[in-house]
Amino acid sequence: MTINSFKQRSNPLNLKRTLLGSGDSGNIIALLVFWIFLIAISAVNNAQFISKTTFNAVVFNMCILGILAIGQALVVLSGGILDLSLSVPLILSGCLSVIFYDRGWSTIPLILASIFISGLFGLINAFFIVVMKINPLIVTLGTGFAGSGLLLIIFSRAMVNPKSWIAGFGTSYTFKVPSAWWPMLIFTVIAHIFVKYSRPGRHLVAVGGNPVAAKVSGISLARYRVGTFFAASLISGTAGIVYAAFTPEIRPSAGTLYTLPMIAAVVLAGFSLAGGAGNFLALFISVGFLSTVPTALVFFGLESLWEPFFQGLILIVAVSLDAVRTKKSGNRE
Amino acid sequence: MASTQKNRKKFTEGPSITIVICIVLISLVSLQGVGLSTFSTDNLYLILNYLALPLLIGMFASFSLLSGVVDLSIGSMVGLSAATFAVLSTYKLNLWLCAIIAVLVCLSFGALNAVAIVGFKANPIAVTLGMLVALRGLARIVNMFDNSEVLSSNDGTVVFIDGLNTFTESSISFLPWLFVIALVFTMILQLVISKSRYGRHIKAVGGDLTAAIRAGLPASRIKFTSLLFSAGGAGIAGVLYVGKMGSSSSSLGTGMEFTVYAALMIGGYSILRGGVGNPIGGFLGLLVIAYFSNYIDNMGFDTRFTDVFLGALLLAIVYLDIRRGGDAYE
Amino acid sequence: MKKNTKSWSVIALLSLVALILPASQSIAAPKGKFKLCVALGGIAGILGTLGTEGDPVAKAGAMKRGWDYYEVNNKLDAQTAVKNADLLVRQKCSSVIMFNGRPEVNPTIAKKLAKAKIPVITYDIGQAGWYFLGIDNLAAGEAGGAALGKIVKEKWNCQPDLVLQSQASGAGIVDAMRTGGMITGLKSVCPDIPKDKIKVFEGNGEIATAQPAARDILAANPTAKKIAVVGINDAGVVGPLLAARQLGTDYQALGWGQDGNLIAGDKVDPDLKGSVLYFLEGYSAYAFEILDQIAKGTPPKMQDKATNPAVLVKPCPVTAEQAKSIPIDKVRVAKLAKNPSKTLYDLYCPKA
Repeated sequence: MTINSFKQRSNPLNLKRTLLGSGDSGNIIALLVFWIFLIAISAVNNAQFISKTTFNAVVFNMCILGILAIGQALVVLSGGILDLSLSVPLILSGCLSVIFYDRGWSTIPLILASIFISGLFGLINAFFIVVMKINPLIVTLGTGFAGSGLLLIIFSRAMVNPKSWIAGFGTSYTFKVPSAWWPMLIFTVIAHIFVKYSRPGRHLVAVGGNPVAAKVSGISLARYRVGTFFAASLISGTAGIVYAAFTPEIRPSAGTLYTLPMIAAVVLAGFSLAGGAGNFLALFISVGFLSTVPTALVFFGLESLWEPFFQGLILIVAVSLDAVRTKKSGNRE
Repeated sequence: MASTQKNRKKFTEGPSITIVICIVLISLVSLQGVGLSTFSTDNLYLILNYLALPLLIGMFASFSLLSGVVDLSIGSMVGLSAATFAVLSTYKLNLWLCAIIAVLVCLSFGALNAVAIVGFKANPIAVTLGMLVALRGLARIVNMFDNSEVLSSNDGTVVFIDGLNTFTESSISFLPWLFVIALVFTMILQLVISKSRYGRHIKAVGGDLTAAIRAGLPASRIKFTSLLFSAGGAGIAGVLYVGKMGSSSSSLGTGMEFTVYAALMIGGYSILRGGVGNPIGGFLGLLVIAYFSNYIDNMGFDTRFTDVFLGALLLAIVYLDIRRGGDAYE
Repeated sequence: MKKNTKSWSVIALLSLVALILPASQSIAAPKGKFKLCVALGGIAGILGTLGTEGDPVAKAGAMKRGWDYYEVNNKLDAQTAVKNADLLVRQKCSSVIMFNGRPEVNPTIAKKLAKAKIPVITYDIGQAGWYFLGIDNLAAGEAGGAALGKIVKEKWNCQPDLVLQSQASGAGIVDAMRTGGMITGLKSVCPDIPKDKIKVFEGNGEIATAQPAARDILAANPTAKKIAVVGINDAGVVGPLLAARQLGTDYQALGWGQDGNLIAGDKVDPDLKGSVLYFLEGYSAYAFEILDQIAKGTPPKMQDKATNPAVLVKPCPVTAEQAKSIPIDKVRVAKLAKNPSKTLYDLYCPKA
């Protein structure tokens, strides 16, 4: 499947597919199988793998990646291909929250302001995409570059006060699970309900799956595109607060650490890069799976050095198998 | 049909004009800030030396762009090839053998990409992204196995090969030999792409896959070999980098795919559709970036400004391309 | 056809430009003016702010002496480091201060600079033929390790459940000396810590990498609750300390850092018990001892080994308590500017 083919989707079969969301349950099952398999072989290798500590460690791995992946997934779902610039609102929001805290702002305004300002970055992307009609992949490549460069020039580093609620949030537990996990859980549920059961959500999927038909039925492509990129930046900004909670010293250069993993999570979850297909429950499982891999590797005695190799390999295999699966069921793009 | 051909011609011309304007502008700014020495032998050598290997990599990668597949793993392949070559050479094997093995390693991973993309029909961005991540990790692992007495880390194997280093650094006046080789290759490629049947076939496959298949072209084979080309080019460049840098650093190649593809896009290629772009355009795109970067270096400014410039230029070029009739994102 | 002609004409134009204009002109310093060039290379973390934000002390010193000043930064990219060497040659530097976080390319850089007959002073990272100015990283490591050992002895009777060694193998020999040195120092106070309790991992000198890596190791050793942490720098230690706190309140973590980046100021991690300040930002104050002699035409004898350095900088181990009174690096540099005859060690290291 190449990017070319998303121009060829004006046949009615696709509209039906996007509305019914076929292939989702297959995805979820496949991912669950992978995940359970990984847990099983890790447990066989070392029984201590099944423990509360391991669970917590994996959960902490999921916190930031999970939130970012949701923003990225929305972009992909809406046909925006990929947003390569999401590391910018992440770091921006993190740094801003530290600066506002040092200035004595109270919690709610601090959170709202940090997230909102970093969301504005998404509007810059939206401008180039909707007004100048440049492809989002290229736009976000450019704004990602430029944005990271600017961040490095503006912020040298931001240190989180260890006595602040931000730092506390990074280590506390709510209802027996790490507090920092809740934003991801809440976003997942909201995103899933939004996409599956709300009208704007279904329209978003239509915009991604079949823009021609969507436009014909009166949906404003521009409005949904702007909304999606704005939302992705806002979501990334929220992740930035969690990032500040986890990272006592924020360095602008560290943001790009998450770019590839978040794309891997979205692709692994079965979101089609052509838009219009994807399930947020599958995304949750895919993030969980990818977050378990590093921990499992340590249990197997492999250094963290092997992590990227396995993650990349998993992605390639998963994507290839997924392509075969969608081809077989006649849903080829 | 005729109008699309004219359109195609129009927007492959477009970038050239913009690039020339950029070059003139940068020259003026540099003359003012850095002075006449912008055009001196040693400065030109600096620019061309830096641009030589990315040009080679870009030209090999352009095969896959033309055929409609973007290979994002080329940067990691360069790093892996360098690591393989460097580590093997610490075992005192014949250097040519080490180089060939390094290139073969890249070719095998290129074949893996091709199997996934052409065979399984998986999304090229996803596959090559996965390969990018995997090979970057693999390069670090390979770097651990060196056999040298010098205390190396898994972040780089120090391997100073005198002969190779002299070759990669040598030049006639302001023209580094590597650059000359890369430029000659670019011009040969230009002729192949624009004049030969193979060139027409690649562009057809990239431009309109269904039509190409209907016309009986061996589309799968063309795509497969184009991915092998981009991998092979990265492999060769990796070996040459070891000569240049005297080591295989794990930072080698990181981010290189973005610079190379941005340069190629500035020069008229597209990572979204195949069939457009010509090698000379790609060269000019790289030249602009290297030239601007050189100005920043000479003035001692923060090198992040180059990234900002790159981003802005890329957006400008693509926008102009759209204005000239390219594919707007609707 | 049109597009090809255009492209070819561009190339022809460029070649013409390159050949016609006076070829051998280069940036020439006015005769006799000394040019100091500083080549830095670090993305935060391992080399501190000196690696990332420039060298104000060197610049100030050069300005005071009426020298020219030029600075480059390779952003921890090896290819850029080699390109920067070419830039330094082109700039006709009289002398270069090198602080390159990618030491694997130092031999290549040395060859280029030697060919151009430019003397080099290197900070902390040794290279044959370059004046060595720096900390004895091994001694700094051992001092930090011993200090941590004292606390481990006091609190846990020399019986930690786990010792985490947070490495950054990218820093090559500096990493081996610092982290290895810390273990040696720790064992000098607590010699009975068994080898299998020491877990080495790649933290890369950054919180964002060290933290999840440490978390996973702690998960793989769920019965270990008393955790001692050593590392290549403060960030590499703070990450694991935070990871332990995340996994539960039953964890007790203690860490001793290196480079002092996160020990000064008022936002210090509560489990970071101390660090070793190198006052990297003030290194250049020492460099002028050598530079002034080079400028006079009488370069000092070459001393290029860490064991036989041209200038030895004293490390300053500090406890968190002592560090409370020490301001952050920006403030320290400003004070140094007002007291040019002193060093940061004189000004700030608490006399134990």
